[in-house]
Amino acid sequence: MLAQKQDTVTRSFIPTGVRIGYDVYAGIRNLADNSFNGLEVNADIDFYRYYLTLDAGRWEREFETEEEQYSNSGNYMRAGVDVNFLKKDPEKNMYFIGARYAWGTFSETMTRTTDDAVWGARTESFTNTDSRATWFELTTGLRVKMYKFFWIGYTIRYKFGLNTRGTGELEPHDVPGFGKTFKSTTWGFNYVVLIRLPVRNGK
Amino acid sequence: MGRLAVFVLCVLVVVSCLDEPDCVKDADTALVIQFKRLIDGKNDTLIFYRVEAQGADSIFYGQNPDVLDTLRGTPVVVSVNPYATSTEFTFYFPVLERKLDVGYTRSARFISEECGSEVSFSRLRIIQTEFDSVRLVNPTLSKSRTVNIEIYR
Repeated sequence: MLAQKQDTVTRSFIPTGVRIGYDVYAGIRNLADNSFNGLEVNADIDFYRYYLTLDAGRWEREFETEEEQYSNSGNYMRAGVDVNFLKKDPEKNMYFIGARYAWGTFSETMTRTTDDAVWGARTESFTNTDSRATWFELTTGLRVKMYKFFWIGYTIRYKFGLNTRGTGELEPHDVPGFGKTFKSTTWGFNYVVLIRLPVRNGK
Repeated sequence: MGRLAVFVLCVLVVVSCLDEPDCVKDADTALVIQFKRLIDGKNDTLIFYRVEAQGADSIFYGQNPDVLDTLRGTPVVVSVNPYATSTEFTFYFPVLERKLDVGYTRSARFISEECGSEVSFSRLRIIQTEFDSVRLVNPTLSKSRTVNIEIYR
C-alpha cells in the first residue's frame, strides 16, 4: 500500500503551493524578554523537493545600565533554498537542510556617561545610522502538515560570515536578524505556523 | 513532537541567556612615552617641571611649578583626551618647552548589561611635534601600558 503511494509522487518542478508563515518564537520572545521587540514572517514555494524560501523580519533591542543606554532597530531579509529529504512523502512533509544569504539595515545608539579623573565627566552618544550587514546561514528543520492548509514547523539556523558596513565610532553590538556580534558565529531558532496556498493540485 | 519542540525551545532560551561576552575591558587613556638617548638608544633620564595637556584642568607630574621632577629611565605616562580625537601635550623643561600633538581613533563598544561599555583608542599618530626625533612604536592604548611613543634626544 505504502509502495503504491510512493509511486504516486511524481517528479515535477512546477510549484504546487506557497506557504506563508509567522514566527511564533519571536512572538514569545516579545513577551518573555523586555529588551526585545521583533517579528518575522516566512514564505516558501516548492520546486519538486527544492524549496525557494524568503524570510523578512524586524527587531529592536534596548539595554540599560547605570552608565549606558543602548538601543538598536533594523530590518532584515533572508533568501535561500531548502532541500526536502522526505521526497516520497505524499503530504510533502519536510525534513530539510538548506542555506540562506541574509542582509539587513540597522541603526544603533549608545549613550554613555564617563567620569575621567583628568578630563572630567561627560555624557556622549555614539551612533551607527543606516548601517548594513550581510551574513550566511545553514539551516535544518521540519515542516509538518497539521490540517488541510495549516502547517507548523521549526528551523534551526547556524549563522556565520557576518560582515557590517557603514559603521562609525560605535562597534556593532547587536545586528537585527543575526544577534550579538561578539562571536563570529551564532545560532538562531524559529518556530513557525504556516498557511499553504495551493497554486495547483500537486501529487 | 509537541514535547520535543517545547524542550528544544527551553534549551535554546537557556543557551541564549548564557551566551554573554567575557567582561574584559582593556581600553585605557594612558599614553606611554619613553625618552631615549639618541647616542646609544638607552632609556634617558628626564628632568622636567611638568607636562600639560591642552584643555585639561590638571597637570601631569610636577605639582609644584618651581620644583623639578626626575624620571630615571622610566616612561612618562599622560592621559589623552577621551572626548576628542587628538590631544596636544606641552613638556616644560628647565630651559625650554616642547609640544607633542597626537591623534587617535576612538571606538566605542557596548559589551553587555552586566559589563557596561568601553571606549578604546587606537591608530595613534603624531600630528605635530617640536621634538627632533619621535618614533611611534605601539599605536594602541591599553591597560598593559606598553610604550607607545619613543622620543630620542
